[in-house]
Amino acid sequence: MNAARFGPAETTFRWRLPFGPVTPDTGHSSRRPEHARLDAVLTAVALGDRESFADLYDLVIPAAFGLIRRLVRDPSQSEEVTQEVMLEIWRTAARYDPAQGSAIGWILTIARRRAIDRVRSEQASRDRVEKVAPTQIEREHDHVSEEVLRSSDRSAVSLALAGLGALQREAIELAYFGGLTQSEIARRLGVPLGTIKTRIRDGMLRLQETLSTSR
Amino acid sequence: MNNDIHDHVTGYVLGELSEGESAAFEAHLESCPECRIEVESMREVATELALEQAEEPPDHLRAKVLAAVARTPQEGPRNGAITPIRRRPRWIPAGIAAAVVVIALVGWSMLGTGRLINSVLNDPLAVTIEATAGAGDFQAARVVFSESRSAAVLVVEGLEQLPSERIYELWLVDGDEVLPAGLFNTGTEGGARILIDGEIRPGMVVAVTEEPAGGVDVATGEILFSAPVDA
Repeated sequence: MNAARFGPAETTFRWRLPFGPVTPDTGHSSRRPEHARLDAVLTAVALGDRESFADLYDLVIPAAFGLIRRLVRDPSQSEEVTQEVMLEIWRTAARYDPAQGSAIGWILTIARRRAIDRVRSEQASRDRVEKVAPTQIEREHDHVSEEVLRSSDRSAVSLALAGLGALQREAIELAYFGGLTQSEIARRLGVPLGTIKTRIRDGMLRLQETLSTSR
Repeated sequence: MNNDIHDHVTGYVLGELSEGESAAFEAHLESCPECRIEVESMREVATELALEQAEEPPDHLRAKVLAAVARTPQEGPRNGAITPIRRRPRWIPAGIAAAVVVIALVGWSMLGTGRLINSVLNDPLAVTIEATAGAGDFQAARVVFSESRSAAVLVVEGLEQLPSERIYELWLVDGDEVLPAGLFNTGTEGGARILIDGEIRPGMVVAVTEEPAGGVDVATGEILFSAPVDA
């Protein structure tokens, strides 16, 4: 094909090319050790290793189920969604790209997406949000934040949350502890969706900054 | 940076985008390091927030999920497939070699290589080295080196699948010595995971060239990408 461009002299020259600066992947050093291990476990799952999948299940299930439960609320539906999510992780593990971030982040994004899908597909979801939920959500939300704030060994993230401005904190708490989508939060607080996005984004980035300097 | 797409960062991390929007945003991430950093930062926080409310599901769910997994096939990567090809020893005629390779590939890759690739990728102490681009056009290439297993795996994405008369060849550069270290082609969508053939030590450099099918003993193609092995 391109035989003309091949030749021993040139080859020798090429092999002497400097290989350039290479930044070794130091991983995501700020993460918890069990989650650093999870990256490797997920990579093994991507190659079809069912034993590794059992390992993965044990590593992620409390976080995934807690997150799904918060959004879906109904216990048996939460279980169904959790099963769907775990199966999706099994099926699509090969799509996980370690270069794009941590495995736990990837998994929890799927968990949240499927939980939101379920909530949306429920015919009654609008009623849930607009009629039933406000008081219920409020109660749950206040309850959880209180719990988080009261907890004797307050985690780094709850301490960091306490350091945020009230508006950013409220939006993030509604999204994570209240299990609301951004549109639901916007509707509930009566502010434009764009404002909520900005509050969540700025608040999250601020939290990350605080967390990474406190480590 | 496109403002509309950028606007999707929170929706993406919060899992609120539709399938199509998600895919579009992921494509955008490939070319937007700013968004990538933001997504990773936000996911880190999202993980911590999720862990605040971690909750154990009922015990029976585990058995249910594992049983479902046992009967569910996996999907390939969006942009790649695993295509290991064994280098042909010089003394085997090509025709026989082809048949042997097919048989060997099935047994050997499933039992031996698959397991070794797993154990390398599974090694918590394995080092990942991103490859430096040479003449090649690819999305991502990295070498995962496990010192404890004295083995390394090359993972490539978005590297064009070659026609049957051409092949990618791996090389181990050890000082002045350049040793062939395996042949491979990528899947239809440009992905591959290959066990690097040969004794690998820190200080060596892994390089890939394109060569005529069957491979060569002395590289003739340009270095498409390379990665120094470092422990």
